[in-house]
Formats: sequence, C-alpha cells, structure tokens
Amino acid sequence: MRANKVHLLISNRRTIKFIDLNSWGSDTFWSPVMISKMFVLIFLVSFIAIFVFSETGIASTRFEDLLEKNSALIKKSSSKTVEPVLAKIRAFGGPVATRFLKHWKAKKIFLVKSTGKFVVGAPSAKNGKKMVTIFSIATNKQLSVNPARDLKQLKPNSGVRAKIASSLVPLQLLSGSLDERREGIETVERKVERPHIAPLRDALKKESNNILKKRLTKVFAYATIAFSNDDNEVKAAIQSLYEDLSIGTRAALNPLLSETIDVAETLPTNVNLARVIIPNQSIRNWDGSVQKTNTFWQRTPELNTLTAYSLLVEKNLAPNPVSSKIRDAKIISLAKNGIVAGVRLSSLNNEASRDAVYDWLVKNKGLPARVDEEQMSAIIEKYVFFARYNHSSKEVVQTAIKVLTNINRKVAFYQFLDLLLDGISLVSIYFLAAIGLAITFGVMKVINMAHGEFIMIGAYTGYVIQLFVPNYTISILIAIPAAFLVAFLAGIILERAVIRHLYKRPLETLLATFGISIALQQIAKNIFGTQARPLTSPEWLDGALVINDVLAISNIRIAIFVLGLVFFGLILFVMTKTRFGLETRAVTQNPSMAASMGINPERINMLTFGFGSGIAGIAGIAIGLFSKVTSELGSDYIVQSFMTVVVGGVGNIWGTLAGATMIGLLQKGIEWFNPSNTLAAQTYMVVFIILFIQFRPKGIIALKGRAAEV
Amino acid sequence: MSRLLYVDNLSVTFDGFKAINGLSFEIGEKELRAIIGPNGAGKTTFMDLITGKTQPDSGTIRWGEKSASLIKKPESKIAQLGIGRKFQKPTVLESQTVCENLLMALANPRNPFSVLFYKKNFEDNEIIAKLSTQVNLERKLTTAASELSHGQKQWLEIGMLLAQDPKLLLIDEPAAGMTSIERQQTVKLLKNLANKRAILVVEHDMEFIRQLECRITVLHEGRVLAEGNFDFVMQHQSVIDVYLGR
Amino acid sequence: MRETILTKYFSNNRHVFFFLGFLTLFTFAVVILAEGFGLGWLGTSFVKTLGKTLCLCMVAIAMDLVWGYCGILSLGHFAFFALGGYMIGMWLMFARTKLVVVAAAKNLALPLTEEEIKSAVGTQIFGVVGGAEIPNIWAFADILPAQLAFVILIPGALALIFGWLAFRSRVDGVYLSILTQAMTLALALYLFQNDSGLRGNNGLSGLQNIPGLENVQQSLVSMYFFIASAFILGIIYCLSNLIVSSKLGNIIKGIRDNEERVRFLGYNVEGFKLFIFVYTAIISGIAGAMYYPQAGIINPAELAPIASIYLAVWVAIGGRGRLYGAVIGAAFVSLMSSYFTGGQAPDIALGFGTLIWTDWWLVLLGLSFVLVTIYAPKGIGGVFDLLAKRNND
Ligand SMILES: Nc1ncnc2c1ncn2[C@@H]1O[C@H](COP(=O)(O)OP(=O)(O)OP(=O)(O)O)[C@@H](O)[C@H]1O
Ligand SMILES: [Mg+2]
Repeated sequence: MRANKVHLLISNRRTIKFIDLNSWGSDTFWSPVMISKMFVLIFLVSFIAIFVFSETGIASTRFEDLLEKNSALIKKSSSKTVEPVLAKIRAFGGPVATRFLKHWKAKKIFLVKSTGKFVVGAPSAKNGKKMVTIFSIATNKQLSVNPARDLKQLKPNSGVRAKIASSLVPLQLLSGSLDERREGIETVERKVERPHIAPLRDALKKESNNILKKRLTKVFAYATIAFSNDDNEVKAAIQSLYEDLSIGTRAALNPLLSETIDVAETLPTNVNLARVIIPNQSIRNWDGSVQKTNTFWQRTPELNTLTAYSLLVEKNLAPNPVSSKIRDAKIISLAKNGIVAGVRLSSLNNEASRDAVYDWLVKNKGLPARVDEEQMSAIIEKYVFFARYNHSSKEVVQTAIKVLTNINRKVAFYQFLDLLLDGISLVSIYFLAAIGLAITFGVMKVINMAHGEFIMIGAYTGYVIQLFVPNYTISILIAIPAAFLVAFLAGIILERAVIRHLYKRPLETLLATFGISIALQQIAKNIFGTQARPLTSPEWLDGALVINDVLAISNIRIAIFVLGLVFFGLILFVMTKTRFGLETRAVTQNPSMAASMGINPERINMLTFGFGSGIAGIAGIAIGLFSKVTSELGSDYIVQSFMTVVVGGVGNIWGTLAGATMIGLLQKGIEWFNPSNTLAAQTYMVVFIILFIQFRPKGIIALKGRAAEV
Repeated sequence: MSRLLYVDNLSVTFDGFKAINGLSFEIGEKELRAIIGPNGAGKTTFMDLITGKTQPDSGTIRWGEKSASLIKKPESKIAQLGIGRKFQKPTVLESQTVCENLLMALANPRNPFSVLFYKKNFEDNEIIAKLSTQVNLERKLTTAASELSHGQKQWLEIGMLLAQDPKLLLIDEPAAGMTSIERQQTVKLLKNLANKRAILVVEHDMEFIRQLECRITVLHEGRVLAEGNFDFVMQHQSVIDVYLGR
Repeated sequence: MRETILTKYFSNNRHVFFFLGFLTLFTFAVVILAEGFGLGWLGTSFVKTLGKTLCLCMVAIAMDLVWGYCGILSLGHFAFFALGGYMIGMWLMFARTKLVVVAAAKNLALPLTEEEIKSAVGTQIFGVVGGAEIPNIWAFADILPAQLAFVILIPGALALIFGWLAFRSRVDGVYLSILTQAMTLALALYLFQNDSGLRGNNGLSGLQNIPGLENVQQSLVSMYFFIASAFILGIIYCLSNLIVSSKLGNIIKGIRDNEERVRFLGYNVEGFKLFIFVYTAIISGIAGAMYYPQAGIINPAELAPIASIYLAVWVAIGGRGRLYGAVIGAAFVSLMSSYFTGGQAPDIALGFGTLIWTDWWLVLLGLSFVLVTIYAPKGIGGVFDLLAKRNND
C-alpha cells in the first residue's frame, strides 16, 4: 500500500518534469478545430496517461542504464574506484538515486545472476531454503521471490559505504523528510567534506526544525574551519564554537594546531612559528607552547640529540651517521678469513673495539666516517630547531587556542564531575557490600569471611529468578526481597551451625568461615559452571541521563546510588528506631549487661547475622546488575569490604559510610591520576589503607568507651 | 625516706569523661600504701597511667632518684625500670608451667637474642626455688598454670612480680576471690614484701586494708580525697559521704 | 628437681629425633625407589610432588611458629613464599635465556656484545608483556649469589617493614589477619601488572630447567631438589625447635596467651613479634625458592587468598603449637589435594549422580576444615597427645 503511494507521488513529479523537458504540448493544444480540440484533448489525456504509466519505465530504464553501464565498478566496488560512479549517480539525482544509494549502503542491493540486473532484495527463508524477495530499484515494487543462489549480494566495504554516505548527503540534506535530513546531518557530523559546503549552506537557509538547524550550524562551522580560505570567516566559525564541548568540535579545532617540526640555520620570519625547540631541553605543551624539562615530573624532552640529528639528516643538512648495524655489516663484509684490520672478528665482542676497527677502515678504505654523539651535539648547536603551525594565519591559530583552552577547561571540569559521580556509585556498592559485614563484626566481633559468598548467593538468586520470570522489571522487583531472604536463611544456618561454637575464638571463626567460603564457592561452580551468568537489568535502566556531551550518568549508576541510599536509611532506621536495633546495640556495647537485662544475646546474634547476610544478598543483586555473576563475584569484594569496615570504624553505620566513601572516592581518584592502569590503582589503594590503619587503628569513626576495647 | 614515685597534677580524659582529674601523689621507697575508692574512682586507670598502658593528657610522673619522667615510655621499659604490676583479674600464662612462668619473670636480659640463647644456671634455679616457697607453690613447679586454683594463680602472679625484683609493686585487688585463710596469708606476704620494696595495693575489702596497717589514700572521681592512717580515713567526713552517699 | 627438668626437656624434644630419623629414612626410601638413582618405581613427576610437599612443610612450620606459637594469624606468608620463588626464578630465567641467546648467536660472524646479549635476553623474556628493556629490578638477575641473598632479604625486608608498621600501632587479632591479607592482595595486584617488571600474569616460567644442568636428566635434577628440600626441611625443623624450646619459645607462647602479662614483665612484645614474623617470612622465602624450581612456573595467581588459607588449614589440621603437627598437616592435606584434584581419584557413583572428586574436593576440604576447627582444635596432633597420655597411664 505504502509503496504504491510513494510510487504515485514519484510518478507525478516525474511527469511534470517530462512535460517541461519536451514542451511538445503547446502545438497540439492550440489547434484551430474545436472538435479536433476535443478529440485531441481526449487523445492527449490518454496519451499522457500512457506516459504517466510508462514514464517511470523510461526513467528507470535510464537509471538502470546508468547502473548497467557501470555495473563492473558497482559490483567490485572499492573506495578508490567508486567515485566516478557515485558522481554519475549524484548527477542523476532524485529519489531513485537516493533509494539506490541507501540500499547499496545497507547491503540490500543484489545482482540477478541470469540478467545482470540490480535489484533490491530482502533475504528470507522458506522450507529451510534461503530465499530472497526482490524489488525493483526504480519502482520499489515487489518483483518475485528467488532462491538465494540465483542472486549475488553486493557487499560494499566500509570505505565504500562511507563514500556512499557522503554522496547521499546533498540529497538527504534537502529532502522533505525530517528523518532523511537528520540522517544526512549525522553523516556530515561524522565526517564533513568539501563538496558538502554548498548543500550545507542551502540546507541551512531552508531548515525549519530548530534542533536540526542548530546541528547544521555547527557542522557548517566545522566545514568552514576545514575548507574555507577566508581567515575571517574561519575565525568567526571558531568563535561560534566557544561553548561547545562535543568531541566533534574538538576534532574540528585540533587540526588547526597541527604543526611541523623544522630546522634552519637562522629562525625564519615568514612562518607561523609555534615555538623554538632546544634539543634535550624543551617540552611541548598541548597547545604548542614550550616549557623547560623538569626533573621533578621527568617529562622527556621533545627532541633529543638523536632525533634532532636525524631531522638534520632528513633535510640533508648533515651527513648520515653510520648506524651500528651498517658498521657491523661493513666490518663483516670487509673481513677476510675472519680477520679485518688485523683483528679477529671473534674478538669484537664490544662496541669500542668495533668502533676502533671501523675507524681504521674509514682511514684506510675510505668508508664514510662515523658521527658519534659528541659530534652530533656539535652539529646540532649550529642550527635552530622550531615548530611551525601548518595553518598560515597566526590569528586563526590563536583564536583556536583560546577556544580550545576554554573547552578543555570545561571538559576537565565535567570529567571530574563524571568521575565524582562514578565514585559515588562505587561508594554505594562498597557500602552495600560492607554494611552487613560491619553489623555482624560490630555486634559479634567475628569476622565472616563467607560474607562475599552471601553476595554471590544473592546474585545467583537474581539469576535463577530471571530464568523463571522473563519480565526483567518484575524479576528484579522479586529478586531483591528474594535475595535478602535466601541470604538471610543462609546466614542463620551458618550462625547456628558454625559461628555459635566459636564465639570466644575470633581467629578461628575467621578460618572456619573461610572454609565455608571455599566450599560455597566451589558448590556454586559445580552448580552453575565456571562461565559468567548474566543478571539482566530492565530496559529502563539501560539508558543514561545526558547532561552534556561529556557528562552522562547511566541510569544503572543512579539506581545503585538510590538503592544504597534507601538501604542506608533503612538500616539506620532499623538500628536506631526499632526494638531489634536497640537490643542489637545493647549487645554490641555490653553483651553480659544486655543479657542480664533480659535480652537474649543468642537470638540477637542469630538475627543480626541473618540481617547482615541478607543485606549482602541485596548487594549481590546490585553488583550482578553491572557485572556478570560468577562464583568469584563475592571474593572480589570481600577484601574491599573488610577494608571499608576497618577504615570506617567497627560497629557503626556512619563509620561504614565514611569508610566506603573514602575507599570508593580514593580508588576513583587514583584511577584518575593513572587511568590506564586500574590494577595499579588498586595496589596503591591497599597500600594506602595499610598506612592509614597505622595512624587511625580504630578507623575514621571509632567506637567510644569500653565497647571498643573488646 | 626518699621519694620513689612522684605524680603531680595528672589528668586523663576518655571521650570527655575525666577519669583522672588533677591527681597528685607520692610514695617512698619500701613503703606499703593502700588505695581505696568507690567503683569508677579511677584506681585502675591510675595504675594504667603509671605503667604506661594509658598516656596522660597532662601532668607529670617521675621515678626514682633521678626523677626520670615515665611519660611516653613503653610499658616494657617501665617494667624494666622496676615497676611490677598485678592485674585485677589474675593473669598468668596458663599453658606454661609454674616454673616457666617464674623463669620468664626473672630479672635477666630481655631482648630476643639473649632469651634465645638463655641457659638456665644454678643461681636462677635457686631463686626460683626460693620464690616458689615464698608464694607456697614449691610443690607445683611442674604443674601447668591453668591447673592452679584461683588463689594460687594470684600468688603465682605475685611470685612472678617478685621474680622481676621490682622497686615498686602495683597490686590491683589481690584479695578478690580468696578464702579468708588465703587473705590472711596474703596480708602477711605483702607486709613481708614491703620490707624490701614499695607496694601500692588497691583493695575494696576494708578488713583487708585494716590488717595491712599502712597509710591509705582515698581516690574519688579521679582525685585524692583523703590520705592518712586507717582510723583517720574512716572518720574523714567526705570519705563517709562518698561511701554512704549523700 | 633439675633432673625432672632435664627429663622433661628430653621428652619435649624427643620429636626432633623422631622427625629427623623419619625424614632420613623417607629420603633414602625415595632415593632407592625413584628413577634418578634407584629402582625407578616412582616417576619423576611424583618425586617432584614429594619434593614440593617438603617445601610446603617448611612454610607450614613457619605458619605454625607465627600462628600456633605466637598467635598471629598471618594470611601473608604465602606472599613471602612467592617472593622467594620470584627471586630465584629471576636468576633461573635470566641465566637460562642468556645461555640460549649466546648459543643461538654461535654462528654469527661477530660475537654478541654485552648490550646485544642484554637486549636479546630482554626481548626473549619481556616480549610477552610487550617490552624489550630489562627492568631495573633485574639488575642482579645474572648473579646467582645476589639472587640467593634476595631470597632471604626481600621477604625479610617486606616482613620487617610491614611487621614494624603493624605491630607498632598495636594492630592485632583479626585486624592483623585482614591486614596481612591486604598485603598479599596488594602484592598480587602489583605483580599482575605488565609493567611490574615480573612479566605480569605470565609470571616466570621454564624454571625447571636449571642453567648449567642442561645435560642432566630431569629425573636426576628432581632427585637433587628432593634431597636438598629434605635437608633444608631438617635444618629448619631443628632451628625452629631450638626457638620454641628455648626461653624465647616460652615468651612467644606467653604473647599468644596473654600479651599484656608479658609486656608488663618487661618484654618488648612488639620486638618479639617482629622477630618471629621476620624469621618465618625468611623461612617462607627459602621454601618458595626451593618449591618453584620444582614446580617450573610461578605467577601472581599463586598469591590468591586461598593459598594463605591452605596454609592455615594445614597447620590447623595437623595441630597448632607443635612443629610436627604442621609438617603432618601440610604433607597430609597437600598430598590428598594433589591426589583428588589431579584426577587420579576414582569418581564415586551415587544413586542420583556421580561424585566427581575434582569438583567436590574443595567442598569437602572446606567443610572438614570447619569441623576440625570446631570439634578438634588440636588437629591430628591431638591424637599424639592421646597416645602419649595412654602410654603414661
Ligand atoms: N579505656 C577507657 N575508655 C573509656 N573510659 C574508661 C576507660 N578506662 C576507664 N574508663 C572509665 O574511667 C573510670 C575509672 O575507671 P577505673 O577502672 O579506673 O575505676 P576503678 O576505680 O578501678 O573501679 P573498680 O573499683 O570498679 O575497679 C570509669 O568510669 C571507667 O568507665
Ligand atoms: Mg579497677
């Protein structure tokens, strides 16, 4: 249906054009005889009708002719050879060309092997056989369904596809459809080319959609910067990007600062000088300015003797130094019976002796002399090394630097903000992972090494639930309480079966729970296998809150933060406002006193342990959402969790929060200084914590009074 | 009688609570002194301060002829200077024999290498034999300390302190958990020991204190409330107030 | 009275003579039965397993000293063990690669210069981590005595610094355990980095090929190592017994039981702890240096937390606070482990499925360890106590 409509529309427009082109109607129309007028009119109508129907035939014939003529280039397209064909197709223009280009780019063009004609195809399957439904390029009408082996799919490579996209641009930019125009703009945003300038200018005048207009303006500025020869125009374009943080803008501006390192006897005045380079001394700053080496930061100088000298050689200003490779080759080739210059080859096992032999050869056999480093330095002294901007206009470069400075500063700020937010979500994770541990450690003074495995249990619970409940939103909502419950029960079992027997022996509790941890991990491995299992987040968590081009906060990060916040509040409420919390705090501070006041410490211990474990289960869901679920999931977090508890101060929710904040932010902070190496960040992190404990053995927020002494 | 330990204007605060508050005190060589005071008066804390377990916020603690400051010295150094301490709960090394316990306390070099190559000699054996009779444990030398009765552990601990040969002995509630016969023996022992060294006894049992027949210092809320002999202190109005409540 | 003390001393140390006698017998038996010199009933790989087990017994003794005697539950001694392995591994790898490089250059017209050898060795060793330069920490890798000294110095120095920091601020109990665990983790993370200079997660490999012994069969090499391990184990046992049966032993046991008492007797508890910590770290380093040439490869994965826990498991199952307990525990558990995880153990068909040992061994070990901790805190050594008691009665 829809295809037909489009087809009609296209035919009508084509008709008008056809009439225009062959202004034949006028003669016939002004015939003197009325009847014949009528007759002719009827005739004419039918004639036109015939044309209306056959016109596409003619047009398509033409386009198909074009394709057929260039069929070899189209079939075996390469980014180097395809341009002429594309030029012809562009020149042909119109919706057929647009459609063809789009399909070609999308790898939907097929070659009918028997006829050598191009068609649009959509692969399908019938009775297990591969079939292709084919459509006419010109009319977009379905032609037939053919077995796949009768057709050959055209698969332009990415280079060709880029060219096709670029060719589509002028057609798309001026298209009536919003989507088409958007697509066109997207292509130019990726890479703007010289031929796009004119269509861009036209499109900018006509564009009615505000958002697209903004984007067009920006791309037009990019194009101006890249291709215009008018410095003032370029400067204005640069200025217009002052506030823009997108990568595209930075990519458009950076080439303006591109430079070439050059050397001359005296500093030339007719170049756009970036800086004078002193070999072995000066360091380049990002904007091309210069700075002296600084032993403190140990940044390497831009040019050292060797690189500077090779530049001289390149410019034919100095003789080629004889490399050790060439030297050795010469020595070997001139040796006779293993002896050269009266020296045995087998004795030449150090540089000095080889140099000596070569120098002898220089003297006696007229070989080119070596240039040693001292000589190189002497030669270098005589020249001025400098960098010049490739762009000829000083003002343009200065403007670009000014704008880039502003942009970079802003980008750095937002990156910092991004890091901070990243850190905050890490803090939430650490908090969730550690708070259960902090509660049990605080109340019972036992270390539960199997805590990590409760996290794992929670995550696997989520995974299993997703196996049965396919709707991710519902399954996550079920999984959170379920994970709590399962881990809660596991915790109570562990407390009753093991920990109860070891209250007076904290070190042994640590070991016994470690045994449990090993066993649980292996059991999980045996049940779920070693490969990672996914815990898929609902779709609404996939997106991100985009603040600007630099800063985007993924919804999952927000969700984890909210989860952490909710549980912080919840735990705070439970511990300070409920009977259970009151009793727990009483047992924390003085177990025997609490017991004498009618609190059953056994029951409290059991419940606290279950509660702490349950929260670990929920942490498991949170962690599983952004990383895969494996049997080692828990052990990845256990040491961090302990660090959090220890750094924060034992037996205190605020302390855990403080610990998590410090560790999370610190880890991100260290990563910021050394982004390429997260392992190093973690190493420094742990070392830092070891040192921190030296100065505050009781943690950031220490428990007061005698409770702390147990 | 020359001054052995001199404490002046000592204060320590735990989270805003002044456990010791401007306390001044002194004890001479070979003096027997008892300290009494209600629960929480700061008696144990005072001993902690002297032995270096707790660091004071302000004040001075001076020791011996040279009046050397004890503040910021590690516990082991203070112990080596000649201050022995008995804890409120008997603390002996349970898994080791009485003999080993005493041996460890003997006043011999205390660095790791000299103890590694330590060989028991004749004199040390003699000292141990003498000490064990002094604290009534001569038959128990090869018994593990964990098998001793509560009172015997208290004595063993005192024996260990004696083996250290300290100039000042700090004894925290020695009579707690003893039978009345053991108490009397302890009183005798302490009086006997005080011939050779200064002793500071903290005790709640007034009968025990009375039998010691020594000068008494009353602590209350971290400061000295009264000081004098038994009768003087018992009739001191503020002491009566503190003990009976106002 | 002196007599009783003397007899007591002998009965306390009888185990040393038993142990040395047994170790000698065992060594002879293996020498006779194995391929190297004797009948060939035991394969080379089994001899290696036995040799490695002896090394594990050494660390177990270290762990027993530090935990069973001194009460410090260190989860870091495997780090010292691995460091010892790395130190000797550097020499093994460097020296051997150098031999290979020089041999390969035999037919070149010009002999290699020092620098060329260095850079060739560098490419060979560090190619896998995308480097060619020899890092500074390999400066002495060519000198065997230096690396042997490092086997002792590096773990010793790390233990000294770490222990000094930790004991000084009176970190003890579970805090200290966690801190030692963190130290191990930090070291492992550091070693995992490619630019650590120790080949990242590839670790050092080919360590079973001893430079200079290329022409000696592995069956003989394994014999040498086995005998050497037995010898060193004997020495370490005697030395450690010397410590625990001396007054120093009394003091560290005192520290375990009541730190405060020992402190107020005038002993510098921190110093003693540090002494034991460093001594045991050095033993662990030596053990590692003997272990990894027999294992052939060392990488940071060896530092996984589970390794430290294994160490504690051996000592706990063998019986804490007695040296032979540590040895028995280490030998028993590690041989069982290699039996069950090596795939030799027959699977057991249960009604509802089969029990595959490689899968379930760890579960069994973990749980039995829990049972031992709760119900038999004295471990296997407790059985000896019972026997001794019965004999006395
Ligand atoms: N480490 C500490 N932290 C906080 N408060 C402490 C600490 N040690 C002692 N206190 C407080 O200082 C006060 C004095 O305690 P101390 O043990 O010295 O009393 P005491 O006189 O020995 O009492 P008792 O007769 O019960 O032994 C008490 O209120 C106690 O709670
Ligand atoms: Mg007290």
